[in-house]
Amino acid sequence: MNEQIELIDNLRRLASALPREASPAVEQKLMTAFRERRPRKIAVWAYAAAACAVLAAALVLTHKPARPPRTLDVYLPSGFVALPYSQSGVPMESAIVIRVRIRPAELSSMGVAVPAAASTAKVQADVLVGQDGVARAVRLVE
Amino acid sequence: MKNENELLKRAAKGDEAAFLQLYQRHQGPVFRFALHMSGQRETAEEIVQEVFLSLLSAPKGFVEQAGNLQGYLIGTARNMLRNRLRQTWRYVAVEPATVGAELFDAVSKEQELRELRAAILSLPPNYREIVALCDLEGMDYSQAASHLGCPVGTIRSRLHRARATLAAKMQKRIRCTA
Repeated sequence: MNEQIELIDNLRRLASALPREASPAVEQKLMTAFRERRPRKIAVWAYAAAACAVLAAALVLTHKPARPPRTLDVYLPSGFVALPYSQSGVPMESAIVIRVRIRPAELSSMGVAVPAAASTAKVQADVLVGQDGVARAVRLVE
Repeated sequence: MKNENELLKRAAKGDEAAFLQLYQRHQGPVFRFALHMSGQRETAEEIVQEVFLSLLSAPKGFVEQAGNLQGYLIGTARNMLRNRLRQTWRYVAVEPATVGAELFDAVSKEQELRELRAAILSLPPNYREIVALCDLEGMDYSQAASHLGCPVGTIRSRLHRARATLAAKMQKRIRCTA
């Protein structure tokens, strides 16, 4: 029993006699290694940023701006005459045609050529109405 | 030690102060464990360096729920030491045995401690690590069990056998030198 006690006592003395910590040189080496690793991390970000820049440049170079929607004001069906006072700022993406009966004089005031011999009787005309409900063009049917 | 995980996260993001704090907090126990196991200061310092470098390169290796960081670091040091001992098992550093005129000086305490150290280093690694943690580091059985990943009963029985072996070795040396 005494041997055990003496042994434990000697173990304690041995523990206190041995160095307790690593030398400062180890800390210096580790901190150097730590600092060397940081720039590598930054480099990864730099690579990522460069890749993003290249991708963005490629997108800009290959990108074709979207064509504005075709408006029926520009591409009017044959025979239609655009109504100058009804040029809505909203592009005409779809339209309906409404057939109406109208006096030749009124048609003429809208810029539609009406035969000189036309009577005062109403004639048939097609009115092109955009998706916004605004009449855009007109044509003489007869 | 609640903020250790936070320090570890900050260190992983490049916070030098956080890494330094972790190092200063844990290098002592890791160094002493490696020193008790290897018997060489140089090896112990290399192990400390490798342990903290591995923490730096793989901070996610430590899982907070699985134990404390010190236990994890000592576990890492233990694995590294085992690999080294496996490679150089024939050359495990043991302090030179008492020779020549020193025989007559064997009663001195310094000599006794030197012999005790040599006796510890001649123990099998699984006994040596328990002596290192419990007797030299002053950990209790449960702490040592947590660090070494084995039941408390195993620690208790191994420590008992290790002490008995050490006592026998010391007796033998004293008889030889008497």
